[in-house]
This record gives sequence, structure tokens and C-alpha cells, in this order.
Amino acid sequence: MEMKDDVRYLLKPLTFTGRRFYAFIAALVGVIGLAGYAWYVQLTQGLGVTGMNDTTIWGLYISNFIFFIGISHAGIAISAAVRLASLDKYKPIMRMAEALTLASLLMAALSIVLDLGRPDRSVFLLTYFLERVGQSPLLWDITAVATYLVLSVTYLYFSLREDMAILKDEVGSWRGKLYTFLLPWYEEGEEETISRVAWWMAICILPIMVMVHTTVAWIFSLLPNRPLWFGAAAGPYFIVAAVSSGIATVIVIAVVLRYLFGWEEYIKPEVIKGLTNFMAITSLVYMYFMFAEHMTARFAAPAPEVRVSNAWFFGEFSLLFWGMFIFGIFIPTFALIINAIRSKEVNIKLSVAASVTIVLALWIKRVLIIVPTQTRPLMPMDYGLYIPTWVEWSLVAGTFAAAALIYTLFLKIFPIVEISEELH
Amino acid sequence: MRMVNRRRFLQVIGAGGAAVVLKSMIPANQLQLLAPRTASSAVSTGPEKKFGMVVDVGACIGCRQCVYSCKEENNVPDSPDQLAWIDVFEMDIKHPVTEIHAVPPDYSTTNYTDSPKPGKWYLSKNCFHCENPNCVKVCPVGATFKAEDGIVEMDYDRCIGCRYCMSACPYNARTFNWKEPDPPENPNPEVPLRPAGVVEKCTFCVHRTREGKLPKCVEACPVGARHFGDLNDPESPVRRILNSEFSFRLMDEMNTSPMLYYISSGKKWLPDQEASEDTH
Repeated sequence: MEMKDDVRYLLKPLTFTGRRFYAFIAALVGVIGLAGYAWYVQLTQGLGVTGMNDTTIWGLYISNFIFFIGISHAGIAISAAVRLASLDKYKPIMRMAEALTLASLLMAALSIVLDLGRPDRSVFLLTYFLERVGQSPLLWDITAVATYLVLSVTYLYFSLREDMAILKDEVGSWRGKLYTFLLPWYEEGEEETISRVAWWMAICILPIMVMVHTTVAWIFSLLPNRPLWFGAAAGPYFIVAAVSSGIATVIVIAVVLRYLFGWEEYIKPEVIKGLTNFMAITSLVYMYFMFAEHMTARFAAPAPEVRVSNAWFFGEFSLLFWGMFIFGIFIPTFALIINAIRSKEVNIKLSVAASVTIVLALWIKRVLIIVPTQTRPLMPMDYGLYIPTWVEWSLVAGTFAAAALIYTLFLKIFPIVEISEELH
Repeated sequence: MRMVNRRRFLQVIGAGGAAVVLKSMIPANQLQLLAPRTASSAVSTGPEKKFGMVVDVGACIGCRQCVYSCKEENNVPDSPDQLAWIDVFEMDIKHPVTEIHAVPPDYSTTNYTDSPKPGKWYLSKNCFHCENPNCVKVCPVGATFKAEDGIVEMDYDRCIGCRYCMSACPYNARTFNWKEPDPPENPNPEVPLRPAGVVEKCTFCVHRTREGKLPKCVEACPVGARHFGDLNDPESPVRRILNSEFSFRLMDEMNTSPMLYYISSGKKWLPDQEASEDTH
């Protein structure tokens, strides 16, 4: 297939590298450098340099892990919508979402390694895998995440093949060589087979996506001694948060790239509108889950549940909780709904603002899931105290910077849009 | 025609290869993948034994000799957040015993001085070596495991420090080495020193009890409030006590079936016996 001139503008990330790019990369590398130093401190002095203690044993690293698993769901959600539900209007952002999945799954895995007391023994998770996978929910989670990662990467690779074949002479010599290297056994006309394979993969990845976040939820929700963790609703609850935060991140990425590369015609407002409406609905569903959770914890609940719910509503977490809920979820969601009812046009600035606040709120919400429950142990002990230290904040910032770096490098190496689709 | 043949070939190779790989990954003697790991360190004294402990909260005077002697015996250092394998709570007698997990901090404290006080009772807690331990279930590498004689052991060489077991324990019985522990002044050579980044807890003094000795805390208690033995042996002190005394366990609804029982039969060391009866 020949490259047509009118789609060349979609190759702008691959053909043009301005000063802003280098400045951005430098900033990211700076943050990663700080995180590297923080990790050095943690590795040499032990996890005691964090705010965690024998009562609050899990903190920001674990909530960060849940967050990244969450936003990784956007990739398959959008790919499934396009391939299985034939919602072709989302084709322009398919690969943007899939690249997000790749970056965020890798950062989820890194977040866990940051939390281990003996990261040098990480390989034990494989060594004793068969012995323990029958019993440990952590290994069920690793299985699901590893499967999801392998399938997502494979899926991404399949969709890239045709683009790489078309572009290998158009995008500079080192990329051309890379594309050629990555295209073994390429045949003209393989697209039809690939398309069928991708269709079936999308069907398989969907239940795996559900199981990924369910197994993550089960790490916490299968423990009877943890009020507000224990319970059957955790799986769906986590999945709704994941889809909300994932779509929100995709909205931000799509609008940013749209602006940066002048793709307003390619990523039409209807795409942003559809994503925004979907996010508003999942956000509503999330509020329903939050309401059900605290109704259950307060109506006639056992004392430990009431105590943790009180910690959220009136205790030391109340500012965080009410702030996150009112300004991060409630107001943005209803602003979006009201705008959708009153006007046929999408308000892109509102969409981005709401998306940013929703992502922030859901990051905070993951901390609220993890920390308050641990601070109210069932034994007659003092309430635990957890104040994260600079080490934890640096490492969390590092994971975000690394995710952005992976994403930006992907943007520079591979086409972030499906060129082949445009040429059909 | 060519593609069908290639596909069939790949299917056969793939299926055969997968079968070989899967079969080889299952060790011949471990086809029951769900079986809990057996002891690798101190050799278990066998399935006929079921070690258990009884603590008499009626006799306990909160002196914490158990806490300190355990620390010395097991090389438990004085690092922050890792004070001891045994915790002793000073509890207010006005509140029923079963209210334990609903007790807000103002009814109890571990930071008491001077004991025993009238109107208070003392609850000591360490790992209960449960029969149905949640900590063992969740460990992803099998670093903690239930030995045949009932002791829930720790393998410090396997622990990756994920702290899932600490999350799963309803009794907060485990502690973590948040930093490299300072070496003790007189280390006990029978107990391994732990590195930073691993979880630890009471082991029922496995290095003593499997030699027929008592755990250090049981020996050290000046009022004889702690008892230890084989629950399967009708002559053991713990079995004789439990066959004749009211007993309770903490949070039985957790379904972990702890092997540490509490009784309240011992005479309370109180200067004013009448005052304590008034408060019931």
C-alpha cells in the first residue's frame, strides 16, 4: 500500500522532534533520577524510610499498583468497543489506549517490586509458583496480570505490523531498520488473517481484563479481618474505578496529542464526546458503589466496620475523602452530565478538566481503600498512623514519570495512530 | 492445502510439547499441589503432636517478663516498631471480654507502667499458631507454613517481604524488619538472626519445644500464667486445663482456629479483692 500525502500529518510525531520534546524528556529523566536516589536510600536503609509500620503495613506503593492496573483497562476497553461492537469512530484512539495499557502495566509491576522487603528475591514468585498458586491470591493476580500483559503486547504488535510495513521507507533509516527487524514473515495481504486473529484476541482479553482487576481486588477482599476490604463487591467496584480512570486518562492523552500535532480533524469532537459520556456513566456507577459500601458499613454493621467508615467520614481521613469525593468525583460527573443534557456539542475543556480531577480523585481513592482499614486493627491496639515520606512520594512520582517516558518513547518509535486504517 | 498441513503440524507439536512441559513441571512426589509445605528447618516432631498454649488472664499481672525473656531468647532487637513478639494489653475489666475487637484504644493500652492495677486485666498476645492459618494461605512463596506438629514456622530465607501474611493475620501477631536489626548483645546461637526485609513472629520457641523444653515465655512467667504442651496428649497440662476450665479464644468467628486458649481461673494478684468483685 502506498503512503498518501494527505495522511502524512499523522506521522508528525515520527518526523518532527522539537525543543519541547527534549525539554519534556529532560524533565521526566530528572524525576526518574530523584526516584532512583530514593530507591537507593530505600534499598540500603530498608523500608523503614517510608511511613509504613507494623500496623499500616501497606501504603502508597500498593495503592499506586492498584491505580496503574486500573488505568491499564482502557486499552482493551476501547479495542473491544471498536472490534467487537464495531464502534469505528474510536479507531483513531485505539493505539493510544493500547500504548497506555503497556506503560501502566509495567508501572504496576514496578510498584509491587518497590514495596517488597526483599526485591532481590522477586524471582521466588516464579520459583515457588506451582507450589503456591493453588492457595495464594497474590499469585492468581500475577498470573492474570502476566497473561494480560503478554496478550496486550501481542495484540499491539499484531496491529502494528501493517503500519510498520507501510511506513518502513517513510520514517527515517533507524526506524526503517527497526520495523524491518520487527516484521519477520510479513506477507502482503496478511491483514485479513491478522484482523481475524485480533478479533478473537479481543474476545479473549476481555474476560482476562475482568479477572485481572478481580484478582487484584481479591488480594484485599478475601481477608475477613479487614473491615471495608472484606466482601463480594470488591471485584466489580475495582473494575468500575478502573474503567473510569482509564477512560479519563485516554481522554487527556487524546486531547493533548490532538492539540500538539494538529489532529483536530482526525480525532473528531464526537470521539471525545463519546468517551466523556461513557466516563460520566461509569463515574455515576462508581458513586453508586461508594454509597452501597458505606450504607453497608454504617446501617447495622459490626463495630469494626463502623469504625473504619467513621475514619473516612469524620476521622483523620475526612478531609481527603470529602475533598476527593465532592471536588474530584461528584461535581465533575454532574457537570459533565448537565453539559451533555443541555448541549449537543462536547465541551472539550470541560472534558479534560473533569478527566484530570477524576483521575486524581481515583488515585486518592486507592489510598483511601488501602490505608484507613489498616489503621483500625481488630486487636485492642492504638490506631495506626501513616504519613508517607519523601521516599514514597519520589518513587510514586518516578513511576508516573517512567510511564510518561515509556509512552513518549513509544510515540516516537511507532505510529500512535492506525495509519493503515486511514489508507483503506 | 499447504497451510492446513503446517497448521496441523504445529498443533501436534504444540500439544505434545505442552504436555511434556506441564508433566515435567509437576514434581513426581508433589502431585497434590495444594498440600501445605512440611518443615524444612527444625525437623517436625510429627503429626501425632499438636502444640498449643494456654494463657491464664486471671493470673496474669502484666509484668511483661514473658515479653522480655522472649526477646532475649529469640534475638528480637529493640528497633522501632519491632518491640516484641508478644504484646500485653492492659484492659478495662468493665468491658466484656468478647468486646475485644470492638475495643477502641481508650479502653486498652500497651503503654502501661505499674501493674497489676485494680479494675484492669492483662491480655497477652503472640502468634496463635492457628490450625487454619490465613497467613499460610496467602503467602506467595511458602515462606510461612504449618508444620505437622502444629507450629506455624517462618523460613527467613524464602520471605520476600511482601507482608501479605501480616495483612491476613487477624491478630496482628507478626512484625516486619523495617530496617537491618542491630545485632543483640548476647545473641542466642540457636535462633537465626534475621536480615532487613523479612517478616518474623513467635515460633513457640521451636528450637526448644522440639527438644522437649518449654517456650521461654512459659518458663519466665513468675505467676505461672502460661502453659504449653501437646493438645493431643491427655496428660499434658494444656489438655488437662482445657478439659476442665472455661476457655475462650480471640475472634473465633475469623475461622482460623487459634491454638492459644485463654482461661481465667488463676487467682488475681490484687491487693483489694472486694473492689474487683464490685466492678463486675
